[in-house]
Amino acid sequence: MKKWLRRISVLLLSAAVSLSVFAACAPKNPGDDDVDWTTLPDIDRSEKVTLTIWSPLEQWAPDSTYDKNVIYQRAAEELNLELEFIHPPVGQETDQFNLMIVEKDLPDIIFCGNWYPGGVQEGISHGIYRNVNDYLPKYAPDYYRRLTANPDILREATMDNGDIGAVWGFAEYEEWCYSGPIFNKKALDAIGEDAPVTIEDWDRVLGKFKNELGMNSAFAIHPLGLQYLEQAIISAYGAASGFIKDPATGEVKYGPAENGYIDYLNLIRGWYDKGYIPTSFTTNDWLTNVDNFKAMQTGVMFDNPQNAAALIGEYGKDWIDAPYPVLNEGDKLQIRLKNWYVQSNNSAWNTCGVVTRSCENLDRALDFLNWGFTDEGIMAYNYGTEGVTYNMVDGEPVFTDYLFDNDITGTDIYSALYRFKCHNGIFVRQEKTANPLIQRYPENIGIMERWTEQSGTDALLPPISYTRNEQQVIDLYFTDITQYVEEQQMKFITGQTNDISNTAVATYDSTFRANLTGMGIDDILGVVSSALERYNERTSEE
Amino acid sequence: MNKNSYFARLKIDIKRKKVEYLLFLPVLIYFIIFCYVPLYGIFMAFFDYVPALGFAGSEYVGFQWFSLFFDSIFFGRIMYNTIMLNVYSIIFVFPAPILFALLLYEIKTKAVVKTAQILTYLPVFISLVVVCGIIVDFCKVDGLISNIMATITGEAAKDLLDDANYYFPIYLISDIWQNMGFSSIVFYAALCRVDQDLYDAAKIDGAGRFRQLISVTIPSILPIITVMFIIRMGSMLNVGFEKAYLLKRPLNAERSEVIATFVYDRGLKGNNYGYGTAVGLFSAVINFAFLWVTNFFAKKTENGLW
Repeated sequence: MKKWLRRISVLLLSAAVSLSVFAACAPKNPGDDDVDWTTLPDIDRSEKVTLTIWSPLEQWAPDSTYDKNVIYQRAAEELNLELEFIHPPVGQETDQFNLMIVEKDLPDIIFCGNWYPGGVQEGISHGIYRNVNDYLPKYAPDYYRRLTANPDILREATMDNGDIGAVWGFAEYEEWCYSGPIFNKKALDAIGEDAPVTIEDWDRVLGKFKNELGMNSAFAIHPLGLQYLEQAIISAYGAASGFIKDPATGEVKYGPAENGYIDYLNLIRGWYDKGYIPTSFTTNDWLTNVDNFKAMQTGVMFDNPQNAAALIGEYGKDWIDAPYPVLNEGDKLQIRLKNWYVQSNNSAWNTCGVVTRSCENLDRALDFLNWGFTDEGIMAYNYGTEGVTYNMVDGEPVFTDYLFDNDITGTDIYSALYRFKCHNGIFVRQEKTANPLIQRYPENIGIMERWTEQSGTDALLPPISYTRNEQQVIDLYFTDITQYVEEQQMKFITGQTNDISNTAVATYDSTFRANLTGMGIDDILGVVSSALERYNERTSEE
Repeated sequence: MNKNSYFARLKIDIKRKKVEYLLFLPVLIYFIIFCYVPLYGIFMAFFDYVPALGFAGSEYVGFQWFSLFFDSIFFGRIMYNTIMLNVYSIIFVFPAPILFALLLYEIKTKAVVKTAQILTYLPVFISLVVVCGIIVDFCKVDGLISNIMATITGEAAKDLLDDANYYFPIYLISDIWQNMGFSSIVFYAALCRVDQDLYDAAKIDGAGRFRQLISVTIPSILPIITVMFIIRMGSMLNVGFEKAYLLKRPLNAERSEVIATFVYDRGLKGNNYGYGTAVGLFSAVINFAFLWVTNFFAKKTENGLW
């Protein structure tokens, strides 16, 4: 009995060892991609080549798969390519991405290369991505030219080791702050108020909404949670839900550990207690908020003015914008929503084109990625097809009604944005002029400009990148912290922690911060600081 | 090779019972492919595992992940939730199908039994995602159960899933509702095989209906109950991942976070395969310990599994 057991265990162990060796097939040496671009052969487009591309779908246009997209078809035709898109199921994008890496079942191009733990740089050093840095001047000349033309953009796209490892979609100018407070104009008229400016005004207006108009959801919270657009209210207190830096000293801070954060929580808790925020806010969905708004049950929500114009009604009659609230009139905010030139954080989709090591036609893959930076490609991705979706008027592209006409497009405007043009992807994004909804509602330009001008961005962290080890520290400790903070703030707001009283706030505050320290927030701040330092040291010149 | 060695005897046996071994082959292959081959993945628990580099390129970190898990501020509550949910489940959910089978067995009208069985089996065929959707809807502020609760307690209706105190009852009651009927099949089948002569003998001895239950029915199905109990104890640290994950929210995480959801969040979603595997391995070891201890005691009553 004993003997055969020993034999079996030896057998299993040796099998396990041999399997583990088998699994550890050596990655390609990263040095393979050290080439002199001047000696590379020209791109030969005579042969038709198939490229597989992994790309998640946009959540609000899940039926607009990219093989139906007119512009990708055109790119394929012009460059003599066959494009095969692989779309992960909506809602499982990150899981599918991770599985793809684990199984090493790689397509030629991945549009979300920034999702690799540790970023593009680690993806290259682990042999999953090709290092395209040395090939770019030859095979993606337009991308290279436009990227290097602006040192600020170049800095955002450069990795910490000085290489450009991916083809990033970027904007060549700073985009507007795209979301902010949207007030119910009819409700404001009914209570005889203007759009509020300070937190105090907000409190008064919400009180009237609740008490005079009987609204059951005066302040609608975005379903993505407090962390999302309610940044707007936290910013009045100089805090944030994530990392910020001190505008003066450049020191990195964690928003929820700041003094202002507790004041902010107290404010929201008060609003919840007074019934301005519905008890069901944890399960609200976005369309319910819109319906409540139209039914005069909601007085204010944070949203994008294009959505408001498309879904709620007429500007100035049904809805009106308000500035971001401040504590005292004339305060200058330093935190707001901002799209960087290069959107490299993990929540950015389809902005980072990387070529994987299973790609056999590196030149053709880069040729395709480069198309979004040629004059023709920029027009096509941003505006669609000339004479169909847009016309040139005085040298400027002007959208026709094509995209809005459901009878022709056979779909709603949101899906049409992903079928007859592209909303985001690997190209020079010209959001200010290339969003047909902005063109249709020109007053929105003024709204977004006001929000943009109202706040500085000195407290925001630039798109820094972490090394794998740093990423691991963040994943391990910071996941615990964000989970803890989220649970605590929800409990605090809904009054499950303790009764509202000043002493309760004080104990909550001290235990909360003691726990944050215990969970290693200081180590994490150190990691973020060093990543920020590396970012600041990146050479912006070639 | 020794003539009496295991393999020699196995060889003779295979020659003798070719067809039987052929039938057994698929089972063997299944276990090798799906249960033994993946075992090498356990090594991940001791590595800082990078999928792209494999084991050879990953750094050996010893017991780092284990100590990290034990130090986590969530460790206490995860263990509490996982164990307590199982304890409650053994107290309330495990006996439910047995009681149900006993009740069914007492009903002698065929039509009633059949109808009751079909009605109680049905929920098990509903996808867990749908069941959780129903639970979420019923427990909403304007949901059915929330409002019944509000009427009983006289307080304003609230979202029951937003209160950690309600999480265990919601979990267990819905579990009973969904699985009681189906799990009772095995007990009901065991009951149907009880020798009717035993009842006749008991009746002659003057046993009433309740006395028959105590002295005949329950002892007859005790072996089945024991076996099911041992198997149940072997998953002491398992809480179905899907249900916990679908019902989990920040406001009820105090009670809803269990080992399985933690492994998923940190391991698969957080890309830390080593950490996830370490936590998984830890719970597997504890499960095995429970299984072994239960079996040890069950053997004393001669109902052991092995």
